[in-house]
Amino acid sequence: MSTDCDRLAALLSERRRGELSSEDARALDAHLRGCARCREEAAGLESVLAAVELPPPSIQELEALALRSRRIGEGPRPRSGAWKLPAVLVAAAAAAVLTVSVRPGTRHRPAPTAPLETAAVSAGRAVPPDDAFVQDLFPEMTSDTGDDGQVSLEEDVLSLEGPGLFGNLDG
Amino acid sequence: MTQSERPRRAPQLTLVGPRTPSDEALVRAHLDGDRAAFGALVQRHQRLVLALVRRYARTPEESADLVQQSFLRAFAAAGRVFPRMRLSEEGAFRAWLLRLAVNVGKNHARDGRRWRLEPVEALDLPSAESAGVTERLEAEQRRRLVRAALDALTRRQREVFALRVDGELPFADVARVLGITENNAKVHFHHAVRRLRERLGGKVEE
Repeated sequence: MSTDCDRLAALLSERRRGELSSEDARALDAHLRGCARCREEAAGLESVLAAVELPPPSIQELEALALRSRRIGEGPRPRSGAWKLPAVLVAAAAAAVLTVSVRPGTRHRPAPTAPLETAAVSAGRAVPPDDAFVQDLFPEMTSDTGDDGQVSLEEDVLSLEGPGLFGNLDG
Repeated sequence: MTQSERPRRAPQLTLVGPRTPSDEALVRAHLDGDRAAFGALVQRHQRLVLALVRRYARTPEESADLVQQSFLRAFAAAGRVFPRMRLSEEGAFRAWLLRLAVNVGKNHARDGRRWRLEPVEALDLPSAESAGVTERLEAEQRRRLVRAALDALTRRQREVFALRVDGELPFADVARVLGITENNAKVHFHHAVRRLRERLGGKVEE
């Protein structure tokens, strides 16, 4: 078995997306000609690759997303005159907002999210807990804790701190 | 299906190229108390996070819920995680955020109650608005089968699959996000797709 046998689905995926160089594409074809097992397997793998792809996000999905984040682009509400937005971030946020269209007046249900108070407490070290700020970032968020069945926020974060995740982190 | 039978898709959601300010500069700004910094990170990455979680959503609103939930969890963990990030390393924040988003999608999928026993009228499948009821039901059935098959993958296989198929990242980028070699990412992907094929059988073949 060559190393290509163990990467066949990846190579087929790259070919589907036109990511293979002509040299690599020729090498894949040559491998398929010479390897009966991979030749037999390729069609089935390609069917799976085709079946699992999702269609691009719909307008409705993008609008729902834009509604959630619209206030982020508008910036936090002024409070006590202490909050100043650097010009570069104003430009970045404005550019981001301009990339999505928002249908005014569209309503959607409140988001089933993690408890607000947990987020505010956990966020304490870098930025002082500030419910108003969290509400600016996540305007549709409610403090409804009816997200039953979800792993708790704390458990979720801890579960991310296993081996591998912090390959890019210190400690 | 061969390559020629299928239109080539542009990797629209792949975020590459120089950014000003960088994610890591925004993370530093957030740590310094700049309230706008995290919002800028949200704006920058929300489309890619959407791509990673939308497979597990039934409606556009639920997709947005999961994106919001991902960033909320990132915000909540920021105080603990950001100070430990190697901010000199480009991509450290993005790698962490994307793995968090994959995890949010997985957790959501684990709660099967979200898509059980809901009436047909509740179906509001992304990009299936114009299809007939039969087609929509078939599409939803296929999505359920794929979601169930994905649940049987190992965590690493599922991460590689999500970043590659849903996030449309090149394998080199998948490897960077997960802190593994590109070859290793490709091998995990191969075994993930083989396993999906075993579980899906001919149910998804066109």
